[in-house]
Amino acid sequence: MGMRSFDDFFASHQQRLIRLCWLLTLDRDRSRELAQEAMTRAWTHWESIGDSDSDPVAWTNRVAVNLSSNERRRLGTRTRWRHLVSVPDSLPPPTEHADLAQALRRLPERQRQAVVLRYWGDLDLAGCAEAMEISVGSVKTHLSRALTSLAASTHLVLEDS
Amino acid sequence: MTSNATLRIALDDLAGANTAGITLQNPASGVHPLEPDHRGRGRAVIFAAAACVAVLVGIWIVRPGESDVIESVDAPVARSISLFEDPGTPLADLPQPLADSFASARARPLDRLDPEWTPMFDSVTVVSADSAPTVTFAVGLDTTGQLLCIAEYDQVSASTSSSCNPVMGVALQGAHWLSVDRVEASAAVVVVTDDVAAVRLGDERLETQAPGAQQNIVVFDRAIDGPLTLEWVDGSVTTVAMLPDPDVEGVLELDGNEEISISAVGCATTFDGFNAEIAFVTDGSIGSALITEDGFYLTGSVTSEAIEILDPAAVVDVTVNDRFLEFSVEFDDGTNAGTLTGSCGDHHIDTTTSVGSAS
Repeated sequence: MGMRSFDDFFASHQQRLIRLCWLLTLDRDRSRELAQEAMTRAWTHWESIGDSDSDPVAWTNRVAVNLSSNERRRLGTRTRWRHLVSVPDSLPPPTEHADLAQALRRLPERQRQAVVLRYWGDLDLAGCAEAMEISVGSVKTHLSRALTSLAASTHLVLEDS
Repeated sequence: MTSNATLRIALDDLAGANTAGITLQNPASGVHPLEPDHRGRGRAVIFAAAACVAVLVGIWIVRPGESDVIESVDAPVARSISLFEDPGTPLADLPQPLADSFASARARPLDRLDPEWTPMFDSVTVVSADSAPTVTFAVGLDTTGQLLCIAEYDQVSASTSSSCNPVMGVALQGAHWLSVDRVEASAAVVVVTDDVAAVRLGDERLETQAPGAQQNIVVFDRAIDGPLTLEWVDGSVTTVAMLPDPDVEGVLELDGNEEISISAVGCATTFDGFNAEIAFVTDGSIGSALITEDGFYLTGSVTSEAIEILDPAAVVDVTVNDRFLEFSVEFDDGTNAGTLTGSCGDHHIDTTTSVGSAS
C-alpha cells in the first residue's frame, strides 16, 4: 500500500475543489474559505486518506458538502429573515448562465448538493449518497425535484437520469 | 451531447467564471507544519479558539430596554443567559441515568461542524419539580459553549429524555424548554434569557426574579399544555409555544394505512431557520417531531402505542412560504414508514418576528 503525494493531490485538485465549493455556496469568498478548509483537513488526515486504497477526492467532496451545510446553518437565521421580508439574495455577476445561477440559488440546499455532485461532479448515485450522507433513494428524490425546478426556470432541457 | 452534459458544462462555466483567480495555500507548505501526532491537537486548539469566538458572539448582550426591533435582517437580536456563570453540579454527581442522558445528547445540527464532535458537559444545574418529586431535571451548557441541553429522569418509570438547542438559537428565541407529561409526573422546565421577566403557561404566571426563583430557570408543575408566553423586562410579550393551536394543520400517515390528523399542535421554526419542531396532541396521540434537512425524528405515543422513529435519510422539505411554514417528510427507519405533512399558520411567524422584527 503506497502513499500518494499530497502536493500532487493539491496541485491537481485545488481548482476542482474551489469550483465545487462555489457551486455549493454560490459565493466567491465562502468558496475560497471552504475549499481552503477542506484542503487543510485533507492534509491533516493525509496519513489515512492518502494511501492508494483510499479516495481523497471522495473524502474532500464529503468534507466540502459538510462544511457548506454547516455554513448554511450558521447563516440560517439571516436566511429566514430574508424569506420573511422577501429580500432577494444577491446575485452573482452576470454570466452566460445567469438564469442557471438564479435557479441554483433558489434550490433547497440538499437539492443543489445533489445536482452539483451528480451532474457537475459526475458522481454516481451511490457516490452522491456517500458525499451527502443520505440514502440513494433520497438522492434520487432530491435530484428529481431539483431537475424539475431547474427545467422550469432555465433554458436547459433536462432529463432525470 | 446529452442535455445533462449540457448542464455539466453550464455548471462548470458558471463555477469557472465565478472562481477565476482564486488559489489556495498549500497547507503542506506552511512555515511551521505540524507533526502528524500533533496535528489533531493543533486543530483542536484552533477549533476551541473558534468556539470561544462563537460563544462570545452567541452571548452578545443586548441591554434591557433597547428596542428588540432590529433595523436590518443581518442583525438579529441575541440575549444572554447568565445562569452558567455559576458553578453547577459535576456530571459525576448526577444519577447515572441523568448523566447518561447528557452523554447521549445529540448535537445536531452543530455536529455537522465536525462529525467527530460529541457534546461534553463538565457541570450542570439540577432542578426539581415540586409536584413531581420523582422527576429530576438538569440543565447543562456543553464545554464548547455552543449547545444548551435539558435532560430529565423519572425515577418511577426509569425513563429519561433530553432536548438540546444551539445557544445562539436560544439567545434569539429567548427560551428553551423541556416538557414531560406522565401519570403523576408532569412538569416543564423553561430556561430563559436574562431579559425575560416572567413566563406564562396558560393562566399560570411565574416571575423569573421572584424570591426563591432560580435565575434563568422556571419550573412548571405540569407539562406545557397551553400557550407558553415570555414577558420581557421592557413589557413586551412573545408567545413561543402554543398548545393547542388551531392554526396548525398536519397529517401523519404511518405504514400506509393510518392517517392521524394533528390539527391541534404546537409548531415552531427553530433557531437556525432550517429546523421545524412540531408537538402534536390529538385524539389518542401525543408526541413531538423534529424535522431538519438532515432527517426526521418523532417520539411519542401514537394511537396509544409508544413509537420512536429516527430516519437521518428521510426526505424532508421545510419552507417558509407567504408567512406560512410548510413541512413535508417522507420517512422510513426500517420499522416504520410514512409521511408527515402540514403547515403552521403565520401566527408562528409573528412569534419569531417579535424576537427581532424584520420590518
